[in-house]
Amino acid sequence: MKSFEESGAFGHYTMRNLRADRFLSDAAAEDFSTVLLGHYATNDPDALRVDYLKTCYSHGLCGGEVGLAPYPLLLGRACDRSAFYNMMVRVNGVSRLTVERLLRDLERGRLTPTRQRTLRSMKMSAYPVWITWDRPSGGMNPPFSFLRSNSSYDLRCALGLPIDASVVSRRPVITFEYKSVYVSYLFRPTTADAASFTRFAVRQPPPPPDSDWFGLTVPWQDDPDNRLGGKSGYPPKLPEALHEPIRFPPDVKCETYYHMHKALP
Amino acid sequence: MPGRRPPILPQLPTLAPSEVATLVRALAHREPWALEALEARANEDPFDRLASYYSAGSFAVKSSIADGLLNYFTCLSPDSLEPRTEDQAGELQSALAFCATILPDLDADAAGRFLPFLGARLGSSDERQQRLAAVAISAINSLDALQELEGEAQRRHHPVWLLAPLLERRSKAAPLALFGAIIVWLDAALGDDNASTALQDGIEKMIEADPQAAVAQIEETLLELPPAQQRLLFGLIAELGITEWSLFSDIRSFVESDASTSQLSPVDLMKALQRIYSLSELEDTWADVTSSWERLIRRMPSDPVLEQKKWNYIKDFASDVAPKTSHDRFLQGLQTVLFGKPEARRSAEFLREVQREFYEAKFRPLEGTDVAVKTVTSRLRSRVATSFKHSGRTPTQLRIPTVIYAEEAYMETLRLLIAARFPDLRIIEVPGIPWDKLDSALADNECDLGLNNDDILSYDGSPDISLFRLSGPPIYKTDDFLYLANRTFLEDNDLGQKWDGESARAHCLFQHSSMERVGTAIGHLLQKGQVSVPRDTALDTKLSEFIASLGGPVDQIRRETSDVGLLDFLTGEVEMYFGGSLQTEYALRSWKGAIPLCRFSMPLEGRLFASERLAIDYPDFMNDLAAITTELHYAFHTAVPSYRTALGHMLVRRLNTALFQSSRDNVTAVAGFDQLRDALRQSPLQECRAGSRKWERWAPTGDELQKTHLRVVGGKSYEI
Repeated sequence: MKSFEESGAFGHYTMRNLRADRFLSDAAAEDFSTVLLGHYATNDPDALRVDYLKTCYSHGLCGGEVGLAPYPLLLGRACDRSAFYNMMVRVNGVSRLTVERLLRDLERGRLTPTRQRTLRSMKMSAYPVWITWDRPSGGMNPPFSFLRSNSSYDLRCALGLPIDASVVSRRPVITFEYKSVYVSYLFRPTTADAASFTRFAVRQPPPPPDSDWFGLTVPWQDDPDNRLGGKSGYPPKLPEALHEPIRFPPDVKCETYYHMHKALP
Repeated sequence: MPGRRPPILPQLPTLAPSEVATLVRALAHREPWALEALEARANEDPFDRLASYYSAGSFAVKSSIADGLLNYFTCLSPDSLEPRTEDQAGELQSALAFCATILPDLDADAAGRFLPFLGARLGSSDERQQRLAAVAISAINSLDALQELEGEAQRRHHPVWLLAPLLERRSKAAPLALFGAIIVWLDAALGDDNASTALQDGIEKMIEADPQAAVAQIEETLLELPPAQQRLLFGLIAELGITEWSLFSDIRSFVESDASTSQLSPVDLMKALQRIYSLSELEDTWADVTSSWERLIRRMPSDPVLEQKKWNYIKDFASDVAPKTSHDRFLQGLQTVLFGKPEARRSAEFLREVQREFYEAKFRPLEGTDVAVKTVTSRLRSRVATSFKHSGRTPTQLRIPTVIYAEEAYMETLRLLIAARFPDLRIIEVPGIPWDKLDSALADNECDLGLNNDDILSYDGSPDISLFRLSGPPIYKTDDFLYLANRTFLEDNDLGQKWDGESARAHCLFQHSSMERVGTAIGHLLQKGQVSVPRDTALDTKLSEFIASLGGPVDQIRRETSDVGLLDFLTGEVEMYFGGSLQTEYALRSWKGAIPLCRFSMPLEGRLFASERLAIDYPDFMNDLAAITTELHYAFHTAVPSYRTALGHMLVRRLNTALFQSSRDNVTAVAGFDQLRDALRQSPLQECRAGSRKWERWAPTGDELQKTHLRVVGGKSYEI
């Protein structure tokens, strides 16, 4: 385990999270222990990684239900736009141009009834979805109302989205806002849901047990563009949870954020 | 590559094509070292992340990724191409989807290199592969790609899933030539939203390329198509809001022409209905919708046989458009034009049929009734199956009357709960038992269980009838009912100047007035006009008492069945209406001449009653039934979307069926679950604790007999 932990960022963050993860189900925790102990003698980090990731995939959404009652009214989801287009093509079997047209019309509120029905028949994701909400208002306000500028950069920083290359950090982010009534359950995030994503961190120190119901994002403190440094507490840590894949809800809102520096009024 | 430090994605441009190919292949196979390079979450497909690096990459990066992908495809073994496991299939599909995502950015030559592989996948036996390959081919800008898709369409006899890729490819080559393809696929696209969207996209591209030529082409062909295809095409065009389209002006001139001389031919009728439907789908065209209906109705033939034929066409048309529209402005326009005039009574029967067809088609279950029933009962079963234990006898059947009031929705929900708890119990709906005759129907063994207002039964009950009543918190409570008046009548009697247009319909005219002031106004209005009230109901008695107590003219109250009374009001035969909430809601919704005058205070409690035989023979079952009613509030109000949609559909369909079966005079219909909930807002279900309701023997006695006497003779009793 020590060699795994010292094998690089992945091993380091994974072991740190596994030790602290309070939301992992007993079955998942047992499986992770089995994998780690099983590779104790082999000293083969690649084989360990293979088995570790398989275990992650088989224990998605094992963190138990988010205990907030009621759920936050408005949920927000943000994705790299190009990645989202690729997912839509794969999952719904439609062309990228069709997806671009539908989402452009959705964003401008110009979907015809026929296109609206088509969009609602499409899956919004193939796998469990990471979501956030506006924490100060308990999810009553729009989820991304914390933003001080309409730049995708701020959003990527706040959510810990990939920002590791200057080219990618400048790519547009597409966001969706929808009501939680269209979601059956919200799940607490676990190390298994994060898999090899090293930007995930178990919430530490843990809040009191009666309010320990969700995770928090890890904003980029290193701030590659050095734009947000010095602004204390911005971007804030956002609450995060997951839900099962759904189709586009009827009143979903969509907005694209571009890389720019214009401050919001 | 495994075994050494994996590259990170920003290094992509510096990798050799063979290394990129290795990385792409490793990603497709979900190899951990490649996933680590992407920092993929468990819920991300590796190609999604690669797509974002692709989009941000330079030409060199894009080329090397495309080369890597092509290399991966060409090295796939025959076994990999026809995968046997879900994982294998997923890997290939991911790569194909990624291919479809990146091809639009490549030039024709670079993209064309993928065509042989994609063409082969188009002929695969795996449907997902076929579709993704077709989508990818549609992004290749070459004649060969178009021919590949055309050939496949012919070989497979134009399957709907090929429509979008084919039209997309054709639109790039020659947008104006699209219409030929659109016509070929119209039939296949009927009832398929995805295909309809593809057609709409195609039409939009034609119009973007050359509006005049596109419109001329469409107009030339449109009227030659079969009606269903016409309506589909017309609807798609109307949604695009091409208002300058000349066919609209042709139809406009038709509906605006002099009605007295021109003959309404079938083609005229079809054109007019197409126009009305198109207008009803657009915003801000309400005046056009109603004026078009008005002109059409004015030109209906006077010959009864011909008139019947025309109405039959309208009925078919309504049935055809109902599932395609998310609202009912098409129908509302017709209601608005017909109501408020004496001749509406003659048209009421036709309207009733049109409404029936419209709502039946609109609420026809898309995936079969069983899906909705399953969705509702599975959730309800989880609520009732574990809550109650039942060891005693259960009846084999339960007969429950259907009524034409909003409360039927509560009874239908209760039926669903009972069915969820007792799947083997046969529940029989008994139509035709009047609201105020439930007590005698239960006593005469015509039914077993029913919902009613407690005091109505007490008014009308006979002392020798013994029933069982569910005591404890009532099922629902009502505080008041709306009293409606005809807008023109109010204006003629100097009550019209107090509101401004629509505001009167949002709030009662006497919104915060005392009942004395309301009584004075109603007394004044009754000097000039009549009010219709459903006979033999508590509303009748209460209104009569109220008017008599103020010394008003009680002989101006016209007592009819709910159906006839509402029709009298909607056709202007009586000037005021005081009736059930469903009928009132319908009047307000379908006729702008209906104005809510006041909320008439009338506290009522709705309770369940059961026959003595059922209660004595099946005591355990009755206890269960009492417990089940505590779940009614949950069953009706829970907001889980799939459940709510299924329940809404079932309740609206059920209530419309009951309404349309009730009598030939009925015009009331429910437009949707929201409208039904609006109607029920004045009679909210009461929440209660488990065990708080119990069955008890009940019969009208004491003071209630005195009320019974008053009830039998209605308002005239005050003169005795």
